[in-house]
Amino acid sequence: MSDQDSIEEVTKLWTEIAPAVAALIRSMVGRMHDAQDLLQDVAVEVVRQYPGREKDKPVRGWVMGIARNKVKKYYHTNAVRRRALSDAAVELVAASVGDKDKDDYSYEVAAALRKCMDGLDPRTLALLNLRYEEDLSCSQVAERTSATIGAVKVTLHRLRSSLLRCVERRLGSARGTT
Amino acid sequence: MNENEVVRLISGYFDDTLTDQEVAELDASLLADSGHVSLFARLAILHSAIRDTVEIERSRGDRPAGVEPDNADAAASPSDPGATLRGLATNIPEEAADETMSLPIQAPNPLKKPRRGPFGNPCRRTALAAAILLLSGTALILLLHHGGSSPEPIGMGQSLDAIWSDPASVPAAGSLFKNGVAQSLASGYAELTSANGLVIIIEGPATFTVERAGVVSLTSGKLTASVSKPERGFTVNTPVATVVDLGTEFGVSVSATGETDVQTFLGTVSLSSTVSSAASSASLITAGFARHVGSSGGITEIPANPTAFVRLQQFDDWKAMSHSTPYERWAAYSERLRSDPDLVAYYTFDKSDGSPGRLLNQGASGAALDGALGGSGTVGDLPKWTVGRWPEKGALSFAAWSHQRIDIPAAIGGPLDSSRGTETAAPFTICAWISSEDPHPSHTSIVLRGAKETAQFAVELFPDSSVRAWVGNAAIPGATARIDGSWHYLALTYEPQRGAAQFYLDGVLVAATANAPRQLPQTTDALTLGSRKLGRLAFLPPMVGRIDELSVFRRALSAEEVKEMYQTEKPE
Repeated sequence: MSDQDSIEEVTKLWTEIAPAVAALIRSMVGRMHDAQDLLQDVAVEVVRQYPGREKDKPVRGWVMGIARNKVKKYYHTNAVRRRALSDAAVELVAASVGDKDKDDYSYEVAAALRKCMDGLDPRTLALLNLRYEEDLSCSQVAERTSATIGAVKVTLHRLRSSLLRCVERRLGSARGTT
Repeated sequence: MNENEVVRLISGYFDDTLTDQEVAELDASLLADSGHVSLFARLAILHSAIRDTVEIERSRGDRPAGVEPDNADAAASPSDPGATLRGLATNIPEEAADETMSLPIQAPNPLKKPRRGPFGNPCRRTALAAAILLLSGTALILLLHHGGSSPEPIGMGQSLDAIWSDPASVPAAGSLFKNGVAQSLASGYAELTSANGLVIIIEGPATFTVERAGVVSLTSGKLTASVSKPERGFTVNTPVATVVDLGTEFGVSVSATGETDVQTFLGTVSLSSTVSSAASSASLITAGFARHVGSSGGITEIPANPTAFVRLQQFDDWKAMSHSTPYERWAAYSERLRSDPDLVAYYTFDKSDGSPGRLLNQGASGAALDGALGGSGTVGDLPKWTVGRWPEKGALSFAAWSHQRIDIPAAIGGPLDSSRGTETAAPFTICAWISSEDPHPSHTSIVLRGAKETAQFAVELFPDSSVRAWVGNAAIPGATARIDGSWHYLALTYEPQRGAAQFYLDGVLVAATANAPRQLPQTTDALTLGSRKLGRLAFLPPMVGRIDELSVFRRALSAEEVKEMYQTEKPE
């Protein structure tokens, strides 16, 4: 295979699987900026290792494996990092997020989410901005909003729960349950 | 463990707020129940999509959607404890109507800029580029069409304020472009579309050619492209590069010399240099990153600047506004103006109920450049809040024989200061909307900084209703321009490198010089509106009339930009 064929394949692969890799890493790494850096690390590894990978193994699993290993390494090298899920649990989640059936689901979730978020009031959007864009921890959000950390945690939990219901209702509710 | 409890644990894991015991419970639940694993995966995808959506919203403007400065200030007030989260979480119905849910929370100060950008670690970015180069010694020419579907021919969509150099060659809206014919958009915006969902926005001035379905050449100017799945592989050729979409939204900017900047907003594009001698000739650009291709073909990383390009949603908003009232048109333009990176200070003259004595700066510099309403010292002598160009908009009125004025802090070396000591001064543009009744009792200033030997600039109003502009102590020569009691737009531009200064009234150039001073005296004086400073402390009586908008840019706007601003903001 020529270099150009290889780069064509890996770019196509990355385009398809990047949403799944991002979802896995962002769910496992609390800080958005750390997650972004890890995502870049995974992309680098995928491109570097692609020509020499074991070609008889499923390529998606190979990419998700790189992502999983990056997460594990992050857990081990960041002392301030949270209490972590076991390797076995991370592998289960990685397999589910990386399932090819989830590709279209990811696209559709993104589109439906915009509609669901259109219904949110400015204060709720401001909360999302603090957590997701300004990358504040729950305690920092609590400090910024003069709230208790418990209130922030519960609010985010209920917000995600409601958004998931809204999104999946828009998608026909039965998607992604396998 | 019920599903709600699992969602709570997963959400807590996302936020890194679980205890050891809770992580253990979540771990056990995932290992024991594949349904919980699927739930985690779906929430992870949602969590990631929220991050992307919030980032997109931020790139469309500097504040969260729907949060207006006045509201935000009010919400942030310590005297408004009801606006905070404290104790309110328990009031959120668990089964709240999803699409209309309202979670009370304090809004952040929208004038505060977020800290670190979202563009990650530069070492990692360089590593990614290097990794790509390991695999490619040649240009990347990728035509990846999802599912084997073909791109559709490209046609004309809607245009906004578009002025074409050769209108006869431009297809009507809904008609297809003739392949291979160069088009020159002098100003405004044009939307190109395909039946498969490709949307391209060309921003004038620009020269481009629709080569064929799925391929556009951009010779100069800017475009933004949003590429649907069937159009994946859409290609933009520039004089030095080829950009191939891999399912994304991205922007391409081409300078007059052909140098190319590419920025990805969503997804990934491949960028390859078409200059064969380039040492670094190919790169992948993922969301949030940007690359520059120089005239020699070398690809280098540059900081991403999402506001440099019109985004699709933004354009849709403008299209909606094009059918709206003059006030709505102004409001949309005003939002767009705030994303101009050269806008130093911007005042819409809308009263803040919480700070009636201040003129709020809506520009990037924030509250540091808020103006203070001034007078002789009594409240009754301050400029009065009144109605502006439209009933929905505010203004400040000034009365004769008082000392009313507005002072905006402008320290030496600060954002409103153009002086550079013995160096050439910095360029600027000052634009204002005013209405002044006739007659005017005395010679005074509409806007100025400094006086006499420290005068930097001024726009002045004379008893015969004529207006003139100064840079340094030299008036800009031109025809006598007079105003009347209706609303008028004034713009003063200054380009010290060329010694050029221009003064526009209602979008028309009325005075110009190529001999403006190239240095400006330093002064600690404020930028003053409505009154003319006389010496160190004294002020002449103010103008009689109203001011309802002021914008200050750190560049000299072109005549086209001044005209566009006038046309978009005029009352009718």
